[in-house]
Amino acid sequence: MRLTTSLLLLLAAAPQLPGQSAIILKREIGRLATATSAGDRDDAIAELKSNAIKIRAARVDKTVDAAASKKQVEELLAFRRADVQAGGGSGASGSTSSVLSPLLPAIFGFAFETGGITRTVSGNTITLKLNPAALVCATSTTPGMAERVERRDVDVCKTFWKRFGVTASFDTGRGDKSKDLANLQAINSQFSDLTARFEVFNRRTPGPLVEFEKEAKTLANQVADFNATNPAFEANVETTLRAQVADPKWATQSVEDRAKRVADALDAAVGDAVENILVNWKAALKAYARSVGSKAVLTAEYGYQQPDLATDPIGTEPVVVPKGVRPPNLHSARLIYAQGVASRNLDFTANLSGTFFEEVRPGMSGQFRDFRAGLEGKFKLREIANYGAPTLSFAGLYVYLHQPPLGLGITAFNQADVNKRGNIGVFQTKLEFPTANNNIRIPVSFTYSNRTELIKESDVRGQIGISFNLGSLFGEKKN
Amino acid sequence: MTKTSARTYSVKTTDFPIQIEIRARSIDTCDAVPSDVHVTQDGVLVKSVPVVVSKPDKITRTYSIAKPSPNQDCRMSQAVPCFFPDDAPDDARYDFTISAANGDVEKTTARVPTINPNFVNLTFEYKS
Repeated sequence: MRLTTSLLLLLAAAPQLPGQSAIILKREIGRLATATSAGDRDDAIAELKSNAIKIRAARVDKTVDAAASKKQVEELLAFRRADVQAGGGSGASGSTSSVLSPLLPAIFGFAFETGGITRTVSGNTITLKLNPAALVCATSTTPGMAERVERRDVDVCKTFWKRFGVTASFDTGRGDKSKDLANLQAINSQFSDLTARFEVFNRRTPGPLVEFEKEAKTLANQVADFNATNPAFEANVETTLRAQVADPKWATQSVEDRAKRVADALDAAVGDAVENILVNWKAALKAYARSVGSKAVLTAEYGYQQPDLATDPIGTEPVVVPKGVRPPNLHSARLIYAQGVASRNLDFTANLSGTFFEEVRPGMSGQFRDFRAGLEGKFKLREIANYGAPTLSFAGLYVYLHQPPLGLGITAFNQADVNKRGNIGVFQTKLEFPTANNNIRIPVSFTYSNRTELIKESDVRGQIGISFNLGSLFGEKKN
Repeated sequence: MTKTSARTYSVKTTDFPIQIEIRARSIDTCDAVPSDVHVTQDGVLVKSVPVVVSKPDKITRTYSIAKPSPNQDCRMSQAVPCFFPDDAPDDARYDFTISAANGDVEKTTARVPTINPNFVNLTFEYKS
């Protein structure tokens, strides 16, 4: 609760036992002290009676933890829906994401985006995302299976292969190339990108919730066992509290004085410590905190990318460079890590990636092409019923171009700008609107970059997309 | 079913099964976890009987307590820790409705505690 910090400090500092009840049951005592009706007093006494065990338990150890709330688990699960990457990455000619989110759609997703981020040639990209193992599970005839797979229920489709996902991107319409890109033409092939993902770990699962319920039940059983075998304990607490309220002085005392006398009476009434309950109380609170905390996700991704440009012919007779020479294909490796701050409805995502040319052409220094590091902070905004939670994110992306972006073989045809290695900095802000119970999301983003891959001029762009989580198509028909 | 003191009820054969509903108010989820029913005779624990908790929706838990077996005088104790979120409003609470088979109904409430959880300890004193 909100008193967590002060409670820890006070309990840790308090060398004496008396006075603990005033801290541990402050609210509950306050309710009794301020109760104006017999019914309110009975309610307050009932609460104090049931919770007096806390004082006794806390006498063993003054470092009682307080807890957050399991409600946040639900929020986290909702938030995770905003952690799903449906569109393409920053290298695509159409993308709304400078930083990739860690999760793929549970079964199947589709996105259409327009506007590039680091690519010089902007375009439109269609991205298909699939979890093959989940798809197989979802198509089974077991009733309710598809819905559970879609919910990412850890108790179904228990296969290692569910950690794998694949993505394919297609450039459906390449935009106009810059006039500065002389001697280069956009190629006709629409295929641009293929990636394979592996979920290294995902702690954003219901597992911690199950653990919490287990620990809470252990605690509940311990308290029930204590009360069953010590029937005089609660009876004595209730008798003590009713004696305070029945005292003729009670009616004339201030609320503060009432609270103090109740606290003192409880301190005197609860008796010796009961260590085992505290141990389990703390375990339950820790499990609760784990269940509501924002858990980390780590995903590894391999990507294969085809270039979107090829050469125009250079020279007449003899032709120095024939038409259609393509830069080397690219291979990339990426790590995506996300860690949330549930109390702030904030999720941080970090991307690290390296890109390598498929081949080393004459003059190239090696296969290493670029290094990318991105960081995004994503806020979940107020959830809209039947729509989902919109998100607002701010992201920074740094790209170090170790070699000319198209490979050295092309540089001769673009004298100045294209053959520059160097640094690209991108800042992006993105607003993502959900609809259809979050199964459709519409991201709108703006980016500023100091340059694009091929042209060393600052650039401001807008991107827009729409993504569909098609897993819900596999759900049960609802009448 | 007769209330004899705070959260303590005298029950007889016709009160069973006792149906208990826990409903969260002003919070989104019901994070109340009922213990087994601890049955004692003369202060000695004779057995623990698990309860089967249903979750009809996010804010409700229901379960029932069956008549003790063997049919002898006993005391049945149960603890239900109720957890509240950090941002729970002041009026957040868990409402317990305890319904006996003969139609008697008792209610009790767990409000936002100083420290999680707020225990609701129920005692049923059974006279065969």
